[in-house]
Amino acid sequence: MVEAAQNGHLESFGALYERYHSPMVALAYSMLADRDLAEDAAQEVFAIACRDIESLKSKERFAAWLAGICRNVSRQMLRANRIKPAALSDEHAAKSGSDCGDRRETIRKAVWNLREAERELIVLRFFDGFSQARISEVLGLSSQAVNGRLVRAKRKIAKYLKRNGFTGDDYGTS
Amino acid sequence: MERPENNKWLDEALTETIGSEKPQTDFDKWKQQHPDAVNMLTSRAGKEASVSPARFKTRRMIMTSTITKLAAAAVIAIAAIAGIYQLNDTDKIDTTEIHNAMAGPQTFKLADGSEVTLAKGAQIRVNNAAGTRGFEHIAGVVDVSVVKGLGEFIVTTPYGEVKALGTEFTLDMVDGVTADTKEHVQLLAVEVTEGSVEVSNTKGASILKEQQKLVVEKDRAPYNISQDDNVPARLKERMTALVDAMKAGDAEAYSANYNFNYLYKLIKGEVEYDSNLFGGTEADAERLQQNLANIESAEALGKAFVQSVNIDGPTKVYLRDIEISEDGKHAKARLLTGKVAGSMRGSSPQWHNFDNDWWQVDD
Repeated sequence: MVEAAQNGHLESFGALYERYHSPMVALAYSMLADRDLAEDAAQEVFAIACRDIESLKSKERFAAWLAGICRNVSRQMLRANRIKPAALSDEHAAKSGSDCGDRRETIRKAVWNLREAERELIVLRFFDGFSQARISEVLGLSSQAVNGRLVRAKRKIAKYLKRNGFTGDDYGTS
Repeated sequence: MERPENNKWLDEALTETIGSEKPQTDFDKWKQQHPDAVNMLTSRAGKEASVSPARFKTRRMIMTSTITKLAAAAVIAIAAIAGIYQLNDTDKIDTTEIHNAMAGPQTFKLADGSEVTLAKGAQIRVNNAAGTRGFEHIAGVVDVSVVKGLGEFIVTTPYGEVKALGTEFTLDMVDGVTADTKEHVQLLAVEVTEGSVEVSNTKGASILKEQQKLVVEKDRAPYNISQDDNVPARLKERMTALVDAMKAGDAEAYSANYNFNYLYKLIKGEVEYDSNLFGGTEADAERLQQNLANIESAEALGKAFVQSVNIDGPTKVYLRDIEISEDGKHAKARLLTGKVAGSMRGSSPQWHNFDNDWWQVDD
């Protein structure tokens, strides 16, 4: 399919778009923490990919190549708009107020305090419920690496939440 | 602590907080919004896909793609109006004048003999008032050659006024949204070929000499790097070299701004990641180490980098401003790049002073 798209077959590129659009929105969201910006970024990612797909050497690395473009586009958007991810902004914090809002805010902070590589995994896993196999494909990582990093990232989040007074008891499911 | 993979509540909490409606995936709509990209892809139909050289996977230039149409639409041509003598049409696209407004592409002489060339998409409104010289710049790229010895020649624009006394200069007015960063950019770029001009607005003024260029943005003072005393001379050289390389699409000259000895050591783990010296994140550095683990030398790295640089000249590059850190060792510029036809992109290259020089550390 990638090779067909490289040869100018638009329907093949369309199939790639259908397959990877959602993961790219999630990946951009992991950096931008803003759903609208993430969708804009994903649109731009496919515009760049459409123009540059001829330059992709390893067809089997298409998803990882696309993810690289997505990181660059998201980073450019962050810089150009001189924003920090919404999850960390004071404005976002001010919107919360209820216990439920506070809890979500703390969880968001826990996620966006992770290293970029770990945050990507967590957001891909929970944004749209992607399987570990799918995440492994999109990020070009082995499934063992995805599993290991997910475990470590979740451990860090749990630790952060505990430090801030949130436990499974808040959900009644621990 | 309980193993997090067994914490059902944690999964629920993360799903509740991060989980979102599935994004709308609509390829037909995307196609309609990106006709240029679609055309580029479909134009390859029937050709075999080419094999490109090895690339950096994580440090890709993205400034040569995308299109945001900034230029004003061209309108229908009418012949000469009072004081204007059309010299030639450079294209078959229709042009016109409406209340002294002229649209490109075309070249003509004003009543005082000064010559004006409008690029495709450019528009001006000619000033016919007795005893005055000049015009109002409305949109696009305009080249001006002013006849000397006849007094002030003034170009008015929404972002400032350009005053010339016998000179040649180029104006480019940009008003649009960058394709990549979605930033609304409104600016006038001025480049002097011969003589000098004064550019001014309510925020400040700057005299621009031969071969100098500046950018004046809406509600900001004109910015001219050659007159910015905060920028060290060597850094000015580096930035000018970057801009020239991008304008020419010269990947080798572009790459010369990077410190490959340092990057090689980083890949080989001989130095630790430092966000000041490597513009990407630690995760980017890890990816670079993985993808280029077998690179043999700093020279080989430099060659691979040259092959990976995706700059497609000729293009226009405008330096909007430069921010220097308090300790004077780090600099970040804002650039606007794009094709003359109107596609624009924003970028923020960065430099750091280390290993006895200023090196570009991010694109």
